[in-house]
Amino acid sequence: MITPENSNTLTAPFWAAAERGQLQVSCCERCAKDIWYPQESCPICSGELVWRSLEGRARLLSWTVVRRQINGAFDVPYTPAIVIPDDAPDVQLVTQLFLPKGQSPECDMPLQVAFRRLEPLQGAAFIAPVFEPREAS
Amino acid sequence: MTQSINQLKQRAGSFDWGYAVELEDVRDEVAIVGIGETEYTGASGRTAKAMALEAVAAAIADAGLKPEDIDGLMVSMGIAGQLTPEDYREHFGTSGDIWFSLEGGAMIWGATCAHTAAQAIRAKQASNIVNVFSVDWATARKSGSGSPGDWHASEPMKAAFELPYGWFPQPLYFATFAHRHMHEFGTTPEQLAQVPLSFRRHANTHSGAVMRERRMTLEDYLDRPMLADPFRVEDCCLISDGAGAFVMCAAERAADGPHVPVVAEGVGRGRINGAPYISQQKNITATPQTFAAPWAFAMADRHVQELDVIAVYDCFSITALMQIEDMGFCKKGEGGDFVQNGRLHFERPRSEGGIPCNTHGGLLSHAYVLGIAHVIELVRQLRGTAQNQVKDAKLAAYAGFTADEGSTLILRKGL
Repeated sequence: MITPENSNTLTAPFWAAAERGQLQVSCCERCAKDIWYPQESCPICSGELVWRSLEGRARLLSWTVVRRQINGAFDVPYTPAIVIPDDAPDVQLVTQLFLPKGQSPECDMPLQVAFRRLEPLQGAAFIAPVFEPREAS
Repeated sequence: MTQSINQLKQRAGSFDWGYAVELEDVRDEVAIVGIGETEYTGASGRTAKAMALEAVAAAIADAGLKPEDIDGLMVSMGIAGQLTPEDYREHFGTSGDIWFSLEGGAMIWGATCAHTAAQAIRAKQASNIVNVFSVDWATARKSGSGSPGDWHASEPMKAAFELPYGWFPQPLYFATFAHRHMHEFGTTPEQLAQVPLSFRRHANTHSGAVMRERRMTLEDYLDRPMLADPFRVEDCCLISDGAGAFVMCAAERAADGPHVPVVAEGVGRGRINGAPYISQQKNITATPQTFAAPWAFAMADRHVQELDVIAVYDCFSITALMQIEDMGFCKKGEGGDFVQNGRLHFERPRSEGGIPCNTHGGLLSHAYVLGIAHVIELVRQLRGTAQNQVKDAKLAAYAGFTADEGSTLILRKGL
């Protein structure tokens, strides 16, 4: 139930892209607007939706640290978050944060995508786009 | 005078991250004339249906009616074990037609049921309507058979993009919202604490509250371990068994009942863009109460400052705090400061700068019956028979919530 299924053609490309080390979101081929979550067609212009790759920079909208077992998903603690990609500002991605020990998340902090193997308590491990602090550059 | 949809729209305003559902004006058309409840408990072994029937019977008797007088039934769709007309007829031994709506019960429908009932009464589909909500989640949780988080796995987008990151169930959503509120407005844990502390204080002097014997100080709260930052268990609703019901009829027929009628003045319903996915909500420091409340105030021709007592859907401390902001009691972001100094306590009336809130203890400390007990408590407040009675309460509002939707019901004492 935690491991994403690849049977849903509407959502599976996200996870297939992650396997290839790419962060992708769905967008309208005709009006170029990002449509998240994916739908059968563009809700604005009815155009066809395609997947596009993002650069992987984002900022942290918000976060929580799960301290006590609440859902049987992962060993605690872990840090679910919502991030907004720099190059897809209409998209809010649910993800996980990985920070160096001792560092606390802070809303609006700059982030960079990383591809990590997540190991749920039940079901198969899988590669997921997650986010890490972005070094100032 | 009845206002048109366009008039209501103009008064309620428009927003860029959600909208008000266009509810037609039903001001003063419907009254609540009877209320009934079961005992509220942890795991009781009772079924949702059995509890619903008990609450319905109590509400009908409280209205001075007989089971055969009821010709309308409203329940919440998608919640297991709710009553059907067949259940009703079989239990009460009646045979008449019963108009039936799944747009009732609790959560947002605890408010909007008054609007739906008004339309049914107008259309002569029903005259005495009972609205009921029942839940056995405490019993179900014990047996591992059901919980409020059940629907996440069955929703394809949540299953694909939220479950794989462990962002579920509901406490994690609103813990995430709470951090943003703290970040943008400087809301502190000590400020947030005043929400559960105020409601617990009310529960401690309310015989129907599950947490009536459990006192809590600020120190107790701060000493509790984190569940999901910044939430402790005390920021999250209980899981309960129980049922509540109320009877509605046309306001013009309400004068004959045994109690002072409670009249629905205004109803609002709001929805976020991108519903039902609150991960995509464009303003996570607010709730769809933002859209519902102005519509209800416009319909009622009232201002927020006229309210004497409120009951706010408090699935989490932050959702209550944000809804208080979104109703307009203070500016967005000032809620943390607003809820200090006993402002939510029943002893601090509006004339002293307070706004008594969740005087029964709310979902956090009374019972998690998803808002039906909130409305029942407001009816008692307006009748003047509440345990934590607000002095001279004449106008009340219920703020309902289902994450992507919010609702508002403005209630007045007397015809």
